[in-house]
Order: sequence, then structure tokens, then C-alpha cells
Amino acid sequence: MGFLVLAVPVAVVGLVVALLRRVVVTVGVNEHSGAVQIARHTRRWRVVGLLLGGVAAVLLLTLGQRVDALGRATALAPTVLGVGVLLGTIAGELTARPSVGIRRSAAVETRTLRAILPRGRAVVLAVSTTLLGGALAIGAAWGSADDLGRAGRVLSERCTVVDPELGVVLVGGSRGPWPGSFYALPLVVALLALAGLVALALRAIVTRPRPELDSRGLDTMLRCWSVGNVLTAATVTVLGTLGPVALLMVGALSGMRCDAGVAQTLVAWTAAVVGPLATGAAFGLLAGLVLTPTIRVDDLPRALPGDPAPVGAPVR
Amino acid sequence: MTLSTVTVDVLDPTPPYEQLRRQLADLIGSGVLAPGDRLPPVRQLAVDLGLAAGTIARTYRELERAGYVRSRRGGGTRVAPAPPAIATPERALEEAASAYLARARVLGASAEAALEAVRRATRT
Repeated sequence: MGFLVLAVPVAVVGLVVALLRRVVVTVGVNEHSGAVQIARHTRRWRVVGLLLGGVAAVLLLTLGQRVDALGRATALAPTVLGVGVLLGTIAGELTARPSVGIRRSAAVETRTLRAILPRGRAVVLAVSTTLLGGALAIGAAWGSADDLGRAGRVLSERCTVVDPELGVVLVGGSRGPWPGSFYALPLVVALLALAGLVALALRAIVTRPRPELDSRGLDTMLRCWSVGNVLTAATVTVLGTLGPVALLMVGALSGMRCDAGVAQTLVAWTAAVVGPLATGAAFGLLAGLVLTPTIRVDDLPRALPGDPAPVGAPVR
Repeated sequence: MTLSTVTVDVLDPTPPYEQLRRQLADLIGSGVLAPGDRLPPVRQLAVDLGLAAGTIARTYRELERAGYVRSRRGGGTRVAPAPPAIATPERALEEAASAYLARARVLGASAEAALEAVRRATRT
């Protein structure tokens, strides 16, 4: 519960930042029609993907225990959400086709991912992925088999303590669930599949045809937004997975009866800080994924003072 | 930096690959595209122009055969180190004008009518 208390403020901050920093670009009614059409098309597909991914993730969270009572299906909920967004993005980018006329022009340029990659988001994704990889690696390295022989599901401890009455006593036990190989393997497979989808989505964005040459700047901005959304979806998935993994680590490590070593203490404290931050940031970024930048068509220009009004008295 | 563009008219009797070849040869020959500059990937140019990838590939093959570009697997197509410098921008313009006048003659238009059409086009 305390975990969520820490995560909620981070999520609220993320939502507020997403609301305050939401980008809305306004274009005239007859300007950049091809780019506006592509923007609407890709946005529609991405929202469909987000909704389907969200529904599937909620179903996994609520009904996943019926599929796998040990929580492996439930752990895949963030990945399913990310997969939904990425599939929607890929479908939108691959089916976006600007209308072509008799005379067709193209720029002699080589479009590259580097030119449209938002560096900040790429760094956040890289750091998040490194943290998750580290957590899963530590979990797999320290995990042990549980009482039913399921490898990598609990954290075992064994040590000798000096009891005032009994003398030297051998203490041992297991605490779980622990994010060992039992949980890490399906997560790694799912995240690798997600990485493949990220690569496909980025490729689809870069290779999407350009609309008219006059809209080149706007089109480049649209691609930049799309790449940003793909990276955000991947980051939501990684952080949404990292948060619970860190929570499990804290839960298992904090109740140990043996004295914790330096490494275990360090991991426990790091997980206690990273867990709530990651969960909150995942929700905050999810808000950013809903409130993506958008293009508004200014199709009703305001009447200026002195302009003749179409009906009634002139505007004063 | 000025953006170089190519244009294809699908109603033009000249095949699209030849229209592209001529424009790219002009851009290279006049120095607008410098040696080592990378040309767009075949698929990118094909989707941007709404043409088949084979059309663009043929254009690039013809340019490579004439020594304008060099293609390398994995490295894309780049302007050759010493492409034929046959065309200054003025020369390229003269060639384009000659081709236009030749087409006007085929359509039965006089040189004056062709010039008038150019003037009208510049006003729009």
C-alpha cells in the first residue's frame, strides 16, 4: 500500500506535465491537407491500438490469475498494453497513403531514424531497460526453486545465528514470490517480442511516403511525434514491468531472517526507491501517450472588427 | 541548403524512369549533388513518387552505367567520385527547353505558342 502511496504522486505529476506540455499545432483550412490526413489516420490507428491494448491489459490483470495462478500471465499486462500501441502505430503508418496526382514530386534526400529520434525519450528508454535488465538478471541469479521444485521462484536463505539459549542454530527458509527465472523468462521473451515490434514501428515511420513537398516540415514533425510515441509506449511497458519486479524484490529482501550482505542491502534500497518511481512514471507516461501532440485545423477564422458579417449587423 | 527535388509526370510520353534519370543526371552533372552525396533509397523514392520500386531501380542502373552514381550493397547509391560533368545549369536548361519545344512541335504548336504557355505557367 505504501508502495502505491509513493507511486500516485509521480503519476499525478506525469499527468499534469502531459496536460501542460501538450502540443497542438494549428494549420489553416486549406493548408497541408495531405499531412493533416496522414496525422489523423495514424492517430486514429494508434488510439485504436491503445484502447485494445488497454482492454487486453485490464483483462490480464483481472483474469490472469485464472490462466496462471502464480502471476506469470498477470505480469505480462504492461507488455500487452505496449504491444497494442505498437501494432496500432504500425498499422497506421503502413496504411497511410497520401493522395498522388499526375505530377508527383519527391525530395532527393535520405530519411534516417537519427534525424527524427527524440534523444531525451531514447535515453529514458535505455536507462529504464538497463534497470529492468539488471533487476531481472539479479533476480535470476539469486532465485532458488520453491518447495514444489519450480526453479527461480523464491529467494532462499541459510545462515547460522547464535541463540542465547540454544547456542549456534542453523536458520534457513525461503521467501517468495521472487522475480527469478520463473518470472524472468516469460518476461524476457515478451520484451524481446516488444523490441521487435518497436523496430518494425520505427521502420514503418521512416519509410512512410511523404505528402506534398510544401508540407515537408510538418511531415518531419509528425514522424518525430510518432517515433516519440513508440518510445513512450516501450518505456511504459518497461517501467510498468520494472515497478512490480522491484516491489517483489523489496518484499522478499525486507523479511529475511539472516543478516543481509552489502549487495542485498544495496539491491533492497535501490528497489525500494526505483519501484514506486517506475510505477508512477509508467502511469504518468501513459497519460502522455493518451494526450499526444495533435494538429488542429483552424477552419473557422474569427471575424475581424469591421469585416462585413454574412448576416445581421457588422461585427464592431 | 536548397532542397533538390525530382518530378514525374505520369501523362508524359517519356517513361518515368527516363524522366527521373534525366533530372538526376542534371543534378549531378551541374554539381547540385556533389560526389559522395547519397541518393534516396529505391523504396523511399518509389513510395514518395507512387511508382514501382523497379522503376527507380532501373533509373539508378542507368545512372550507374553512365558513371553518375555508384551502388554498393548495404551502402546505398552515392554520386560517383568523378561523374560526367556534361551539364552546367545553363546547359541543362537549354536541353530541357529543346525537349519542350520538340514536344510542342509534336502537338502542332508554334514556338511562340509554346513560349506563351511558359509565360502563363509562370504566372500561376
